[in-house]
Amino acid sequence: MGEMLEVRKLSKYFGGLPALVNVDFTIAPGEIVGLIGPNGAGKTTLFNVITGVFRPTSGEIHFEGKNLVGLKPHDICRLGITRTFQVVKPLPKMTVLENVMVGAFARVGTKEEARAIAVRELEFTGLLPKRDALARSLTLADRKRLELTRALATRPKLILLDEVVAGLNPTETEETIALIQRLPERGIAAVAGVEHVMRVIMTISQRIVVLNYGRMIAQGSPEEVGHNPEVIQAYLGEAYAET
Amino acid sequence: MLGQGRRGWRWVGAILGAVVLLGFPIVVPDVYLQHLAILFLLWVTLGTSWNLLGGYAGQISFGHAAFFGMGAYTSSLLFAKLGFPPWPGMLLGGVAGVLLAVPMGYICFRLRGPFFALSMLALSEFLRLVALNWRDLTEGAVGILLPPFFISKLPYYYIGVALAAATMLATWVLVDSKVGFYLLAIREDQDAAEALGIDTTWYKLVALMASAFFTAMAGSYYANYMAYIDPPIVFSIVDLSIAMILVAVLGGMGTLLGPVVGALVIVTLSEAFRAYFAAAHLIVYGVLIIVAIVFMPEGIVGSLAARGPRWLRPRVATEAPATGTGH
Amino acid sequence: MDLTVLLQTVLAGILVGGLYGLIGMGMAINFGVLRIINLAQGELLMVGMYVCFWLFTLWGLDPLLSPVVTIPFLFVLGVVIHRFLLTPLIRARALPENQILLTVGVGLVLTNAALLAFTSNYRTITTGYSASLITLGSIAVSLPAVLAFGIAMLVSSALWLFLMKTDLGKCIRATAQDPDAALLMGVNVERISVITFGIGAALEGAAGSLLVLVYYLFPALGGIFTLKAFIVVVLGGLGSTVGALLGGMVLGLAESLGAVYVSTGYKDAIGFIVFVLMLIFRPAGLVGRARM
Repeated sequence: MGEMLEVRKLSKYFGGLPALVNVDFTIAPGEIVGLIGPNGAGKTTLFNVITGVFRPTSGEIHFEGKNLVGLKPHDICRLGITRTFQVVKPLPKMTVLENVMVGAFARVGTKEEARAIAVRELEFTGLLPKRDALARSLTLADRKRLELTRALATRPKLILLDEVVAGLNPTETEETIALIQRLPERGIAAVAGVEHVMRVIMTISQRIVVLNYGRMIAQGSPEEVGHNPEVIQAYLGEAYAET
Repeated sequence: MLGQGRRGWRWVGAILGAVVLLGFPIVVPDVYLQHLAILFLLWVTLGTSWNLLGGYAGQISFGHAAFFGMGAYTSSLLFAKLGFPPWPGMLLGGVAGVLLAVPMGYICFRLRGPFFALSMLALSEFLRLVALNWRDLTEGAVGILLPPFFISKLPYYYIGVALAAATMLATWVLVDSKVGFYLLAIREDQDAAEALGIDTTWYKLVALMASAFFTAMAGSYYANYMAYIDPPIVFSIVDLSIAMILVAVLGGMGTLLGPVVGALVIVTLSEAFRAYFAAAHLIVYGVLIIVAIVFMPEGIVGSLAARGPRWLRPRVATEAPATGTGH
Repeated sequence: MDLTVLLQTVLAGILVGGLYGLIGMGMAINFGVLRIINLAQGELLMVGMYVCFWLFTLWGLDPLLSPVVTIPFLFVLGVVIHRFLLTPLIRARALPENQILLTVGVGLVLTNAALLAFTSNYRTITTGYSASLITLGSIAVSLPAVLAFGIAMLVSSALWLFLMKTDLGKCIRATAQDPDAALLMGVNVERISVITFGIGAALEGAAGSLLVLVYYLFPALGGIFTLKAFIVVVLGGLGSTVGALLGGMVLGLAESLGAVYVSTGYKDAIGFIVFVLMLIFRPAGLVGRARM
């Protein structure tokens, strides 16, 4: 099978409110999968459930054969799934380097090792020149990049990116796309959750999953999904608003 | 080049400070001043130990008197009832503090921010009531009277120096390690920390246990020095729990020198006001708190660090690589 | 188990609980609207009690009439405290822990100022009816306690009506539910905050006038009652004024039953035990609001 992440019939209800209903998909190692859906479709909730922030109401999540349901977020990170947040969460009073070192410590125990990993990741994402800047002094684009760098330092096998290009200008978006496209060659799979920057998703995804009101309404290649009438209807034509 | 020059000054300053510290009671024979110096050392210990949890891990506890009292009663009772020697008893007092920290943390870390702070306070108060009412064990309101262990203040002084130094050293080592990074991360953003693989509950507990250990030892030290303890003294909200916070906040939370500066200010002002206001001298605490929070929330050291010389900066020590790429 | 004693204990607990509820309401309203835990709430109560005491001692004003003075006096005090100390903090987006610490400082200043001014002597008020009892069959309850309870209920109802029916009350509730939305709707949130804090203080003024009838007065009383108010608020559900009333009853009952059936020494510990038990077994109800 070779499927790394298996999500089966995943549902999450908040009281009576259905946030996720019978979501069913898999991720293979090194894949880039796009997760799209209008505002409120459940993308962030799905990420939260997979990473253990919320417990699913029903359904199963398996990662490399291990059951994830009931595990805490830090356990799931150790197993190899990392996420970035829609509203970025830098550690404001720590420097860029220190931020990334925190991520690196997920795998190593000494400052020297963590620093080495952090420096490598900062080189990969291009943030090394700003390593001594305090995180709170960064621009939004750099904060998003810091978030990504820090996540990479945890040596994930799968990274869940929540709105990783929202709020970026075209140049910054291009740079981020380039970074994400280099992930598979490092053996890292990615799920990119995006609401409306369609061009990004169409470019980088090998496969796309579409959520609407918590349900999966389509899954397939970018072309298939782009022409799916239900998907177009869900977005009411806003799908290609930002190209 | 410049860094090495600054580092040289640091060493000079440290050695000078050590000489002053160690020579003080020999050079100054005044018993009252020696007593103040001991109080100063006690507050350095208390402020630093609270700072470990509050300043570095970001968990503000209003209930640290619980550990102080625990340490004080443990060593005092061990001596009074079993004849256990008082100074090894101080270590056991510290251990007792750590053991207390586990259930307290388990209960209180379910809450965040101010609710954590207040639940610690409630548990500390509960402990005070237990000490007050469990007369068979603790002698209740009568308290425990200990014999003077030393006639001169000098041995107390040097033990106090050792305790304060140990607390500061432990803080320094802890903060500069993986644990330290994790505590700072928890302080900055607990949810992000969880997502980065940090078992926040465990690390908060580690910080609490370390903090409790030194606070409890300080309690034992106090008991051995003052030779008398009772529940209102060693479980005092204002004189201990709040005062510890004041020392750290006034001096600068999350800095190593902050509690030292804070302790200095508190001891001198407190003694000065005691002469004029007697029982109401605590009014100076209230005023200091108000002044510190409204005008100097970063504390003295913190405010200086923002504007002053680099060596005062309260940052986790990360040295840039000697040959940097991409400068 | 003697039924008479049980009924008497329960009744006493409820009566004092109503007063606790009023005291807790001041803190609840502060938390609900301002998200501030005012640790000087008990000290404000203490100030109210002293005002009432001196009005009685110097001019013979009956405590039951003194709310006319204590309520506005404490309201102004609350407004001053918030306007000059808390507002700057809020504007500077200070941590909630810092705001709480500030209130601790205020409390310390108030307590020690009272100590300087009035010494630590215990004070009591003895009126013509202080020792009177109301008897129902074989059960006797203290008249002052009943009167205090009655007026506490009156004040609570007045507060409820105020919050529900008046425009200002609605502004306050709007700010409590969503300060940003309220701001966008034209509510001067800063002004409402100051006023609300004043109301919280005023409630303590009223409660102080009533508490002197059943409790003795000394400067350090503030700390004791701040802790009680906090427990009441947590028991009843943070920010809920009705909850505070219920929480007060629970605390009053727990203390009363504890004093009679367990031991007087541990009476105060009961409150903490209940509090801790709630944290252990029902954190979901608290944690939902407590996770800031």
